[in-house]
Amino acid sequence: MILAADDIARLVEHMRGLGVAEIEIADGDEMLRVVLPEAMEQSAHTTASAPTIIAATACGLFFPGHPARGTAPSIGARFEAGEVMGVIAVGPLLRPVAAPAAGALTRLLCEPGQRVDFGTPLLAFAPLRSLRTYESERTSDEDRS
Amino acid sequence: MIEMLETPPLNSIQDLGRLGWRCHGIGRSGAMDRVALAAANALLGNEEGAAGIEFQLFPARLRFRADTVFAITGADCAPRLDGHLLPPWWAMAAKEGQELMLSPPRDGLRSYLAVVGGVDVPPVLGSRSTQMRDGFGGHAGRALVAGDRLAALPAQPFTMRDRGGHGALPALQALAAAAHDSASAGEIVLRAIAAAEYGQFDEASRASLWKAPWKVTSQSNRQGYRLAGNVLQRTELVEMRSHGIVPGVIQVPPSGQPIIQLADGNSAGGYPKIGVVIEADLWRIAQAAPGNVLRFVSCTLEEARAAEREIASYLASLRRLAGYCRFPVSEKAA
Repeated sequence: MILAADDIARLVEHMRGLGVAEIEIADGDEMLRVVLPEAMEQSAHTTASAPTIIAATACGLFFPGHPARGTAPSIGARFEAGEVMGVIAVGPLLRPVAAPAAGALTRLLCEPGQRVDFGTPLLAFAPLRSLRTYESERTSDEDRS
Repeated sequence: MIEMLETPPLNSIQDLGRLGWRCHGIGRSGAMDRVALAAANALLGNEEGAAGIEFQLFPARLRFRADTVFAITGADCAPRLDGHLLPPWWAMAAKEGQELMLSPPRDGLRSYLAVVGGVDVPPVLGSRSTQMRDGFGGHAGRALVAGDRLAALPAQPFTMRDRGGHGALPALQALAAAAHDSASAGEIVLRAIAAAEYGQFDEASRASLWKAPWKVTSQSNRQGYRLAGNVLQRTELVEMRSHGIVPGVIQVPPSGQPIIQLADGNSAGGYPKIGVVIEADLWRIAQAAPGNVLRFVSCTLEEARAAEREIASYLASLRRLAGYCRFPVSEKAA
C-alpha cells in the first residue's frame, strides 16, 4: 500500500483543515481515493463544480465584510475555513457569515445593508476544491471578452 | 490566563471607574471609552463594569494561557488570533496557547479587551481601574508590561452558538452623533452644556466655542485633551478658588486655549469653565486622535439625559441579544 493507516488519518486531518473534500492519489497500479463524509452529504445538494450558495441563518440586515470596515470584500477574495466573510445585524448584535471551507467569494447576492430572512442566499462561494474550475472558467471568460 | 507578550507603555487595566472619592481628591479613572468597554462586557455576559484592558498604544501581543472567550471593542486594531483577522467589536473563543495581536488603528485611538468573568485584580476603593498618577488599582498600580500575567474571575462556562463568534454594531455606527452646522466629514461633534463661568467670556469667545473648529493637540492624554483654536477671553479677570471638577469640563487657562478634563483629570481646579461635554459623548473624545477636529454643539440637560438613555438602551439590547448566542455548559458536563 502506498500509504500507511496513520498517513491516511493525517491526510484526512489536512483535508479537513484546508477544506478539501475529495482527493485521489495514484502510484503505479495502486490508487487511493479519499472522500470526506461531510463532502458526500454536501454534494447530494449541490453539484461538485457549482459554487456553494451561502444562505442567511438569521433575520436581519446583511453586510458583506463588516459595516465598520468600509468596502465589501471583492469578488475572488480568498477566505480561510471559518473566517468571517460578512455579518447579519440583528439590532446591535452582529452574527457571522463564515466561510464553510477555504475558498473564494465568487458572487455577492445581496446589497450591503439589505434586509434578509432565514434562507436568503447571501453569497456564492467556491471551496478550494472547485476553485481551480472557477478560475479556469473565469480566465476563459476573460479570453473571450 | 492572559500573558502580555509585548506592549508599549500606557496600556492598563480599567473598569468603569472609581466613583464617590472625588471629595478626597481621587478622580474617576476608568476606561476612556466607557461605551466600548461596556459593550465588550455585554457581548460576553459579564457585569457591565467588569475590568478589561485598555490599549492606547500599539502594537500589542498577548497569549491566552487557558481556554476562554474574549471580546475586543473600541478603535479597530485589526485583531488577529493566531494570524487570523477578526472583525472589529467581536467576541470569540480562544484556545489555550493562542496569540492575539493588536495593530495600530487607522481610525480611533483606544481598544478594549474583555475576557469572560472580567480581569481579576483586587478592587481598590471599589474599582479595579488603574490610578496611574498615584500608583494604585489595576495590576500592581501601574501600566502593563511584557511578562505580566492576568487572571480572570470565575464565570459560568458557555458554548457559542456561532463558531465564528458574534459581534456588536460599533458605537460609531449605532449611536448617531449630534449635527453641527459647520462640521465637515471626519470632524467629531460633541454635545456640551454652558458651565458656570460661560457668562464671563466675551461675545466673540462664546461664539467661537460653538462655531469654531477645535484641533486636538499632541498634549492630549487620559488626564485631558488640550485643544488649539481661537483664543477664548473673559471680559474681566476674576480670581477663582479651586473647586471640584468632573470629566468633560472644558477649562480655559490664561492661554485662552481650552482643556477638556477627562478620566485621569484633576479632581479640583481653579481655571474658569466655559462648558462641559455631556457624559454620553465622552467616549467620542476617547477615540479622537491628535490632529482630529472637535466641534461643540449646545445641548440641554434633557437632551443630555436622552443621549444617556440611548446608550443604555443600545447596551441593554446588545446584552439581551448576545445572551441568545451563548449556551451555558453545566460544570459537570464541562
